[in-house]
Amino acid sequence: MRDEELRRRFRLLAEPVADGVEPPDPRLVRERGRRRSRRLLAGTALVVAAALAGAGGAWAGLIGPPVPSLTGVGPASSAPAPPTTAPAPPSSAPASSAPATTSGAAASPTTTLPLGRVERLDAVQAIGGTGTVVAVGKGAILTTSNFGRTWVRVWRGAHELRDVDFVSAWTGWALGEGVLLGTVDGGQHWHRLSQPRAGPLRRVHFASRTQGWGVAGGTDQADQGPMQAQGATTLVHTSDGGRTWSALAAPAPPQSVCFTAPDDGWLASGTSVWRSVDGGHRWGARPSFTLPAPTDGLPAYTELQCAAPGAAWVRVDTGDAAAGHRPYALYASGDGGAHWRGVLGEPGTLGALLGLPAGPGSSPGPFSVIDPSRAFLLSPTPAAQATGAVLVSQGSRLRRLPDLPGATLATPLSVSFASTTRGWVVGSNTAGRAVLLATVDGGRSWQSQLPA
Amino acid sequence: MTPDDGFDAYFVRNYGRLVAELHSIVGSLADAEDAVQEAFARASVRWDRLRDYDHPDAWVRRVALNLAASSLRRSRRKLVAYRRVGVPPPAPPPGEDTVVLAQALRRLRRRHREVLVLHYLAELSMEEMAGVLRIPVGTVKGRLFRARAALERELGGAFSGEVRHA
Repeated sequence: MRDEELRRRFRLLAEPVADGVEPPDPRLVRERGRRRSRRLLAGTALVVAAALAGAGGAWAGLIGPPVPSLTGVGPASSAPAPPTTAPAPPSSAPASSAPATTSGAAASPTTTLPLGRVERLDAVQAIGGTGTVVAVGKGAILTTSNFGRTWVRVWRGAHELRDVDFVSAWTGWALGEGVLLGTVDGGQHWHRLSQPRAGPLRRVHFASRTQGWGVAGGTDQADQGPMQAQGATTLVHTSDGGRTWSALAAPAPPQSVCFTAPDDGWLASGTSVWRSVDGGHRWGARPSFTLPAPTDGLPAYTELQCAAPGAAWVRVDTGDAAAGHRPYALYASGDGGAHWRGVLGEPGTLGALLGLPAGPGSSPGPFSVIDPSRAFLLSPTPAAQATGAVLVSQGSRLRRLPDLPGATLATPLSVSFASTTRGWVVGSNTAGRAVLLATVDGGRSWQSQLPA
Repeated sequence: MTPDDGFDAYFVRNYGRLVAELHSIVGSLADAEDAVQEAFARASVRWDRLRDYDHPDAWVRRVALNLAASSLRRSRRKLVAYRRVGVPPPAPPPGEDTVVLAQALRRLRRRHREVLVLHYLAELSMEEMAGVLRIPVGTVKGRLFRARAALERELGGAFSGEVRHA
């Protein structure tokens, strides 16, 4: 049999098949490709981490024990939602797609890195119900895409990152002292972005992939950490995802700012909060909220979190620590600032003065807004070497949760809840070690996500 | 809205041909279709680069072959299990040329089926086959020589052609 005869017989074999199969709709094939890409992006880091962990335990890794109650909640490799559908984090603005990045200015060639030791963790954000959580700290960005079953390190660097803000599972920013990093691919690659002329960024909050507001300049406030400025701070705005920043006029030197959209923003300074409905250009003649108590001229600090359009929560820290008490109070508004309700206060000082329900500890701690009527707050009591916790529901109903002992958590720095049951907290314990804890039962119990 | 970037037309034009090639190698139409669809799906997300290739189907074919190989390995494990419990041998084939060829291919090693199908059905050159299979050209030539000899044995010595080194 010659070559030509063999070719003929191969064609006879194949032609009925080629003619008989009907190609499926190309749109379905495209969608299959897109789904696979999304799955890969979420799963690659996970697979590499698992491989590293399985390679003999050579890495002092972050693969923590599985969180028991997570069983059966979702697929192990639950992928983050695509940018167009990912819900915004509760404290953040509506989901959007991608931030602009400086051209070619990669801060580090980040793929999934060996895990290594994590010295400090400063901030954490759970991104809605996507299963994606991001934690940042000293030289590290850690992510999980499966509700914390496994964590991977996606960035290693010299800077200590103090804040993180994602508007979707893909798009987010990490802020450190003198450095702003952005990612558009769920943290696989980070790009270094610009700082405003007004000074280093101390806070940022993005409402979309392009629109963001921040606090720049000022001077360090020693007892609040370097990212929370006092003095002549400047309100800044970007409309290109952090590539460039411009200054905006503010009613007072800002300390905290958040926007859910350009027509829905808040700014805090001292014990007051202002509201803007035009992207931060105008803030009204008077504050929307002022703490109804004297602070005796001491520097106060107000932390803001947006819950939804027209809804915000504020935690005021009057900084007047004495006799083991540092006054704080939590207020919330759900009607654009027309009315503010007192939620809780430090029981021995400000809470008693203002007649507020008692907070869970003697010092202000981080809080996480779940929605306009629900929030979670931690409050350490250094004298007792414990951290109290409370879940606020129905706007002001308090459910006191078990204290966390200092060996587990002594200094909570950041907390983020994806729902009323699932939350994460970072900080340090009494031994000064970095802590990353997760709860699946609304704070009744916590599990470490870091190796012992 | 789906962009009109030429992928859809390319997919519809080449789908059947590639399925037929894969079918000749893997022997299962379902496996062949699945591998080819998955290969096209992967091509779709990188189509902006692939469409500029001289022969995008070389990329699609290679991916489909790799996917089919993975599927074959899974099937082989199942087959080993079946054999342990005694599966009756298949019925003898009818005598038509094409069926004889199909049966002969089934009895060849997969790597031999690959080079025979790529050479005689897809009509690829040695260099193109080397690219698809990611092996050196010399290896392709040697493998094709052995594949032809094996096919000749299976066809009962009715094979006397020579490999044309394109």
